[in-house]
This record gives sequence, C-alpha cells and structure tokens, in this order.
Amino acid sequence: MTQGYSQEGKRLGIVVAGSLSQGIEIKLDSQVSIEDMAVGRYVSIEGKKKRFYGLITDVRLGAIDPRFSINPPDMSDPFIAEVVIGTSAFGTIKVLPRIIWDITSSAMQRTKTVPQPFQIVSEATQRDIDLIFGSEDEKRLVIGNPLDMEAKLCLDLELFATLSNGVFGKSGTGKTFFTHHLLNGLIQKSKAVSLVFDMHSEYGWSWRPQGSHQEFKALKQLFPSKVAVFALDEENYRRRGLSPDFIVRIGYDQIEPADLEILRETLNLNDLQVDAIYRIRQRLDKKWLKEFLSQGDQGSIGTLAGQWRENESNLEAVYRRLTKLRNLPFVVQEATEDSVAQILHKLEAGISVVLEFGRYRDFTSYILVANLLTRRIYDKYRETTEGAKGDSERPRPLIITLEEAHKFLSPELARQTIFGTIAREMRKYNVTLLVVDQRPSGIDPEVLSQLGTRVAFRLDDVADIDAVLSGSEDKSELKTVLSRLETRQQTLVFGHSVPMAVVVEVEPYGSPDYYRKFGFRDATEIGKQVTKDIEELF
Amino acid sequence: MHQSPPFGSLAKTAIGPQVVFAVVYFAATLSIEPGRKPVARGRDETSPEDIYRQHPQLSQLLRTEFHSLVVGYSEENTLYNYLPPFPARIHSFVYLCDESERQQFSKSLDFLGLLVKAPQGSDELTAACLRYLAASKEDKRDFLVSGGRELSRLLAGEPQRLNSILKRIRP
Repeated sequence: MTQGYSQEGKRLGIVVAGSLSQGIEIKLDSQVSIEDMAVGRYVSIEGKKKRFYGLITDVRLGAIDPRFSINPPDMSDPFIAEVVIGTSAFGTIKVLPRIIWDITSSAMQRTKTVPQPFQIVSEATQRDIDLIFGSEDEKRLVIGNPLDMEAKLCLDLELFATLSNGVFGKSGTGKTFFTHHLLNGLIQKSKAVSLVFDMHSEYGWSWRPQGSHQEFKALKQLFPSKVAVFALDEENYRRRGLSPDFIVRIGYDQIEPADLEILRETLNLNDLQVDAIYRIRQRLDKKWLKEFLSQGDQGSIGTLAGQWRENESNLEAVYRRLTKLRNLPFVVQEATEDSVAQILHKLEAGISVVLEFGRYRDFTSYILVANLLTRRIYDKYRETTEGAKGDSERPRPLIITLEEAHKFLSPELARQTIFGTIAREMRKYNVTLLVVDQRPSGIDPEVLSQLGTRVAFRLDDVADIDAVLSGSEDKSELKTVLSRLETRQQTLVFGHSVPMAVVVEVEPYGSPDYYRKFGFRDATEIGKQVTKDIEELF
Repeated sequence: MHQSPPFGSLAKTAIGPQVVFAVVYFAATLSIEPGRKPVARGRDETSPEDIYRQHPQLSQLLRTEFHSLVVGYSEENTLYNYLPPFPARIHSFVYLCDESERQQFSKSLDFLGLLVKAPQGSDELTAACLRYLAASKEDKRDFLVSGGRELSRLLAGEPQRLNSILKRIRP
C-alpha cells in the first residue's frame, strides 16, 4: 500500500480556499487547461500528514480583478493568452474531500478536516484508486474505470449483497448491461444467489438491446450450471430453440388476497371489493378463489351474498373482476408442481433463478407473479433464518432483481407488497433487493432511503435526480455530477459498498474477452480442449 | 558623448565586494552648465558630423549622461533582488553587463517588483528591460511568458497597465 508522499499523478493546482461542508476550492496551474477538467473526476490532495481524496463537483472561471471582464486582454494574441491564462484569469475546481489516507498510521478514514492552504493537488492514479476501492480479488468485481482514468475500479460484492441496492437510469443508458455485469459478478464470485424477475426476457439466455443488431449472452449461457431458467411462457422460450429448466404454473389455491390487493389498479378493485375478497378468503379457506369463481360461473353469487350477508352487487363486481385472471394462461385451476418449491430448491442449492415472462409482459402478470412468488420465498427464508442457530445455518444471501420496481414500490404499494417489507427490513432475513428502474421518483422515499448502494445512470427528470440522491450526504454536489453524466455507459455509484461516490465508465459488455473472464468457452474452444484432453489421455 | 547604454539595459558597478545592478531608465546629451541651452548650428554644413568638426569645443561643452534604477546586487555569487545597503560611490566605474551577467541576473524575475513600483520606472521601461534581457536568451518566448506572468501577479489590480506592457513585449 502507498506510504510515501511522492506525487505520481499530474499536478493540477493548489488549494486556495474551502471548507469541510462546502468543499475545497483549487486554483488550476496555468499549464492545466480548464477544458480538460470534468466533474466526477478524482483528485488527491497532498497534506502534511494526510492525503485527501475527493471528487470534482464544480468547475469555475475566476479573474484576479473584476475589471478584467470589462476590459479583457487581447486573447487573439497567443502570447498574451499564454501569459494571462492561469494568472490574471484562471480556472478553479471544487473538490469534495471524502476520504483521508493517514500516512503516519496507514489507515483510511472519513474526512474530518481540510488540507492546509496551498497544498498541491494532483490527479488520482491507479495506486490511489486501488487504495480506496481495493483491487480485484475473490470478493471484488471490476465495474469499470473512474472518469477519464485508465485505472480499474472495484465494487465490494460482499458489502453489496448485505443491503438492498438500486440501479437507476433512463432507458438506453446501459443499466441493463450493468445489472447483467453485477449479476455475473455475484454468480461468479458466489457471494449470493439471485432471483431475477425478467419482465423483458433479457436475463435468461440472451438479449438484444433496443436498436442493436448484436445479441448478448446472458446468465444461462455464461453459467449453465449455476443458473436455472424458469419460464412463464413456454412457447416463447421453445420458439427460440431453447428449453427452460421449469415451466411455471400458478394454481388458484396459491393466490392470496394480498396478491390481488396490489393489483387493485389493474383489476380495477375498490376498497369495498378488496375488503370483500379478504372475507371470501376467510370463509372459503385455501381453495377460495377456485370455489368462488365456480360459484359465480353457476350464477349463485346471489345465494352466497345472502348466506354471508354481503352486498350482492359488490360480490358480483368482485366476481367479474376476478374472472380477468382467467386471461392469464399460466394461472391454472390446480398446479401440478409447486413452482415456489422448485425455485426454493434451486436457490438452496446455490443456483440462481431467472424467471422469464415471455409474452406475458403486461403488468398484471408481472406484479401478480413476482409478488406471489417472492412472498412465499421470503416466508421460507424468514422461517429458516429465525430457526437458524448459527451463521452456518443461515440461508445463502438472496438478491431479488426487480425491474420496473416502481410498480411494486410506489408510496401507495410499498407498504403492502412484500418488496416494500424486504426493502425496509433489510438484511435481517438474508433477502435483499436489486431494484432496477427508470423512474426512481415513483418509488417510496422510505424504500429509497434504505437502499445501500445506488448506481445512477443518466436521468433527465429533476424529480428522478432528487429521488436517487435523497438521503445522500452530498446531495447538492452529486446533483451537479449526476446531471452531467454522458447518456451512455457512465454512471455515478455511491453508498454502502463504495468508500466514496465515484463516476464510473462502465466495463464494456459482450466482447469475447469479457465472456471468457466469466468462464465462457465457445464451441471451438471447447472442441480444442477436448482434443487436447484426448491426446493427453492416450 | 552620444554613446549612452540602451534604454532598459542592465548596468553594473562595484561597491567593495558588492556588484550593484541597475536598469537604465534615462539618457540625455546636455550642456555641462545647467541652464545653458545648446544653440542650433550647422546651417551651412552637409552632415551633423561636419558640425563637430567645425566646432571641436562642442564635445567639451556637451556631455551625455544616463540614469539607472538600482534593482539588486550580488555578493559572493549570490544575487539579491533588493536594494544594496550602500549607494554607489562617486567615480565608481560603471559597465554594461555582458551576456553571462544578464543571464545570471534574469534567472529570477523578482526585480520586476522594484521596476513596476519605482517612481522613476514606467511601463515603457519595464517592457524595454524585459525585451533587452530576452534578447540574450535562447528560449526568448518562454522568458517573456514568465516575465508576463510575473507582471500579471504584480499588476493584479491594474489590468490596463498589464495589457499595455504585454503588448510591448510580445515576441
């Protein structure tokens, strides 16, 4: 680890002013072009006993005298321009120091002070980045390089898996690629098992991003033995020449009133009807839905209403709305195999599960299935965790990847859905969420505040930017950084699993080298290996 | 007579072990008697030289003098960019600095502070001095840029003055 004071990175300027709360102001040297500066870049400030690390949060122009702006020098003359820039007129950058490397004790600390005036500021180097973020090992995954730097930047997956996390960004910014990369890392480094609710059929075998001709390999191709694909839409999956590990069917008896309550919008249920559903469940027990629908089919809702002293028209309305469930082909009278048990079985064996929705990508299917399965998986995890005597008996951490998360975690629904509970109760039962969404403003602020690590790609809407940054200590500074991200492949990562906020140019996905890093071998390579093995054998 | 050192050039004289450096800021050819003005001559001559040939007394009655502004001194090979403790003595010999002395002197630009603030100094003088010192440099432009930057700091509150000097020293 770094011990010395030597300045390795390019010198940028000197500290001229600042405060701990507002950030440090740095005057750029005359040979440093302000046009090369960018918010989000890392710098190091060499103090007497400590080295400070921070993120550029603002870039400004300054003049030594206000009269310069009224009577500017003749900048068309290269000589005069060279003299004046950096002296009479200069650039300043604002840096938010967040981490201190204490040279005497060789320890990393949170910033509690500021460097002395006129200390030298340099660009951070790979060594600095390694010092702050660690280098790649069995628990750290390279996620890309810091802005404008060659250095490799790592994320601590062990820390990442302990809390719920979020990946946000408008569509086309690369959040699906990044989520894939995270899941690849989590599966490869076996930090946790994943359950992916794959609404757009992107995580199973392969996917093709919008507007792209290239097909990218997804989890099942990269980790055939560590990933199982569960399909809701068998036909869709088979049409692609693939066969899923399991076809998910949901029996009427598996559906609980709570699952329907969160569908109140799509099923058009009002409060009275939801209350009635809960009472029907009480009266008819486990097979309530099948029974109630068949009574309705026979036209005996009126009789039921009489028996139960319910409002007949209300019950009729409930019946009419519940018949919509019959339009969902994967909901069957009675499921022959218990999908939840199958999923749990895989997860227990350390195999991650991708649940592909195929053609059923309407929100009714997605919300119903995701909520129903997760509720039961979560119950099971809770039982196991509460029954566990020691850490060894605790179940393997489970990360549930949830796309279009605002559909489950809106302020109205977050309290009812199981996802809201998981996000709030955090790691108590070893189940966490990986929320993927393009409208973070639609997510309950309480849930957002519980997210450990937030990965924010470009967002245009001010409300979304505010939501992503809510509860972060450097909200106003990070806002400038976030709103200046490129539209693709650049992201701001901050929170629990990184020591300080960082702008990352994400690791490019989909090159042969990339796949190989995760253990993928194509047919020719496997063929060669087989030939070699045979030769060696004989 | 008529052979004053150039405006802005660097002159030197010795005070015991000290060598005092000064920048030439004024030069004139005058009558030796104050208040006695030279008379116009040479109506029938063909060239100014003929006047002096016809009136040899002129070279005795007129003299050329120059003034210089002390900007530093050196002692035992160390250069100090501030005023020496004693003034130069009467009858000390004054020389124009040679190239190596100019190089040595211009390694530090601190003398510019004395130059821009002295009552006898002027923007013309500062510019002339920088041009004069730059002439002996291989990296002429770099020297002028450094000089300009030093001036930017010294004239932080006087953009007009800075602009006018910079225009006079651009290579």
